[in-house]
Amino acid sequence: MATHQAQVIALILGEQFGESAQIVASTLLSKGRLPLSQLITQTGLPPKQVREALFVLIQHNIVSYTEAPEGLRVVVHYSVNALQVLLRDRFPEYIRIAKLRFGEKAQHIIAEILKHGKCTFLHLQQALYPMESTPPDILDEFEDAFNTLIEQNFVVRVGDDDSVNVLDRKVSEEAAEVAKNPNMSASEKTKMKKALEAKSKGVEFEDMPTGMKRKLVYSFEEGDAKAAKVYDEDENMAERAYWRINPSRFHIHCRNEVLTALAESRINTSAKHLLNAILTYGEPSMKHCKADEVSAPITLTHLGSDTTFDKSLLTYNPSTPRASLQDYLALLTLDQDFPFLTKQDERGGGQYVCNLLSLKTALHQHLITTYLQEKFGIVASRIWRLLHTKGKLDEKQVAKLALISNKVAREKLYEMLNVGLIQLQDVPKTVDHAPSRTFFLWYVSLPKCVDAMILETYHMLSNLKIRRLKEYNANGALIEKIERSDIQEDESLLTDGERKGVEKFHKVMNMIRISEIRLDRALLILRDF
Amino acid sequence: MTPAEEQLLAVIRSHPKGANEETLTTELDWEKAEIVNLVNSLSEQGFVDFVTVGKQLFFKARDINEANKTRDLSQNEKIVYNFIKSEKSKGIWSKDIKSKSGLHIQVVTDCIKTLEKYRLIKSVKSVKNPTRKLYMLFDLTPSEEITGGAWYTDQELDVAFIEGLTDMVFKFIGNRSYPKPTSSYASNGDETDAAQLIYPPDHTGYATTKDVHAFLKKSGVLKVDLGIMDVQMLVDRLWYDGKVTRIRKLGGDEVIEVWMYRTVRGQSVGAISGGGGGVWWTDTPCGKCAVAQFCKSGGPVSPEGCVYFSKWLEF
Repeated sequence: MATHQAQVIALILGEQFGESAQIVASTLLSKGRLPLSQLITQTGLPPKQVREALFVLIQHNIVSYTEAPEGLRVVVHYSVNALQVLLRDRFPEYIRIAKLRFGEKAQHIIAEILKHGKCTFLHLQQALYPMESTPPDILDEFEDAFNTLIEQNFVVRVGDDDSVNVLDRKVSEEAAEVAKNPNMSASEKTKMKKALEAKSKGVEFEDMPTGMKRKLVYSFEEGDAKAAKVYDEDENMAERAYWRINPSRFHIHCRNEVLTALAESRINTSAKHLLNAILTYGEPSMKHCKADEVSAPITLTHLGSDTTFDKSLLTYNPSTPRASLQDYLALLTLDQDFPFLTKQDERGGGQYVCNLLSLKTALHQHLITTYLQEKFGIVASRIWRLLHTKGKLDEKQVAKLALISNKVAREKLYEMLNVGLIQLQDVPKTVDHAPSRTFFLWYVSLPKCVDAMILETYHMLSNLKIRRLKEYNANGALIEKIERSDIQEDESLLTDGERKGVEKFHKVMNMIRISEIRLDRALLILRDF
Repeated sequence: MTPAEEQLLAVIRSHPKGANEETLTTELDWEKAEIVNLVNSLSEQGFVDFVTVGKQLFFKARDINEANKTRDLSQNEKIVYNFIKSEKSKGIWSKDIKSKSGLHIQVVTDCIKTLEKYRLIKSVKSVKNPTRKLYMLFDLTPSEEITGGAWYTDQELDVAFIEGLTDMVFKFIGNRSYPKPTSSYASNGDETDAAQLIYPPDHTGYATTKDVHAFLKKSGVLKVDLGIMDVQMLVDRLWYDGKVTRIRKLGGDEVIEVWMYRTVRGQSVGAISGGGGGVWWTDTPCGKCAVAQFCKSGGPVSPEGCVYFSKWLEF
């Protein structure tokens, strides 16, 4: 996995930050964490360049550091956060979501933050509205948009320890917990670790003061002091506090989008609207795509009285709105392949939750079978589903149950084994493990398959990026020419051949970019959900 | 054959299930000893078999054709022939004949060769052990056990037959899966778009395996008789293909009746991948590439010099 992933990372950094940042990050990725002196020797770059590269990478949340005491000195180790780099391919998607949910102002804010990795409120304001004469109502709108982004956790404050390595933070947090209670039993320790784990998935920034909104203070006596403090903080916050985006929030949005689209294709548009209403209701309590098991429970009565949800969207046979609501809830519950909803209780006309975790698994399974069908044919996907349902089977049983000949079954099984989407288990009859006295059973392990698919996707992604780089370099002279100022002003200076070349170049670039974005969509579902 | 023998044979033939000594003595009114002699002589010539039912001995006339064919066989050949005959349509393996008869394998093979030459027996292959030759009488049809049942033609899985049936089943299930735009489900809603119509959750009119079975039987395309379990295999196959989905039927008591089937609507992946029919991976040349495993930058197969890429980008 590592090689293709590393290659993708190197290509992304090379494209976006240039060569020295690429070399520094690749070295850190292959060697693990390193102090500056060793980093300089390993990369062979001048110290100044390395320092600057690290500066840029830390600014963009890619490199994190740790201060480790070695004797009397404190040595700073740097390490790379691979996922942060890989997510850079998804920036256009984040900007799209911001626009879709919060409008154009939010879109500009997100774009600006992404451009700088992290930035202050003041910086945002100056960058987006550099004119002194900007009307105050526009500035208010801008501030509102910013506040909404923070309230909904799409933008989070950068803490003091934000650049500290995740593992280090975990270790120090655990150490602090242990220090609090030195006589912890083993089970208490596991519990504590689990709690910290859950905390790290999305809830970590919850307690941080945002500075952008005032807190309600009930008690007047102590309130004065508190209010004064908050106000004090507020004053400096605009300059002092740095903000970055919170990818997991965007991923939750993407997941909900995917699920509603799925409901539409499985059932119909009405089901999509209903599921959308349920997920929107549950969204504030969702923490992280990987951590959410079910959405917040919602009752039929609640849905019925929900004013934001237009009941006329539910179409067939609507004798009463309530009956049609009931019907659609039941339809979403009954789907065997994608169990969208589960009825938890009878209260309020039936209380439902959306099975986020099992839908994720179903989605993975569905993607893999579709991929198999496209690449190896329907027989392969049939065998895969058969094994996934029935567990371990030998070759002849596979052939019999899938109604195919033994020969075809064997071919397809080995084809899939080669790409790691099917697994083989040997069951020896004797202790000597002789192949002739061993049963070989085929089975499917979903997590392994997902890993194999992610690896495959990285490989394709790196191929596409390499090819794009090549196409770009091959057209170097042409690109230089069209970027000249005189040509920018007057396109008629280009010859016919050049114009065609430019057109073709743009088409090729577009094709590859689109494919990259589509592959990233696959990664979103397989890796980040 | 003497006239007396012919007369005796005629009497024995009139009892297709075999006649015992008593029947013969009452019907012919001959001496017992004489009958025994004559029966022995007929048996030697291959016209009569001895069959023991319980403790009684019956004489059974052989088919005249068979009798004519087997008359000239040697003693060993007759033994082998009888073993093959006794297994009927199940067939018997030459090694089994050897161990049962106690004859040398060479002798058995020779006998089999002669019997095959006279077209008294034939060899068939079993789907279970395709390398073994099984022998059975020439005019018998092999049993299901050897042929593999309804799905096999000439010991091979009849793929075309299965595909054809699966298509039919799929269409049959599809017909009952969604309401027609003209049905009552559409009439009182504004929605007339066929892709939006769906039956309510308590609808029980979806196809079950039993329905599919009845449909196939009525359709008249079946040359062989399909059992309900065979049909279940077809439907399961569609389910493994992801083309149909199951809905639990309440109140069905038999195993077969537990599930109702509905076709899957639309291209689910197309929807979540943001339009387009294919999946993300197979849209690029790499997704279908056969040499992708060897592909790396700077290698003999590389993304820079990939011809599939060039073709794709030309398109």
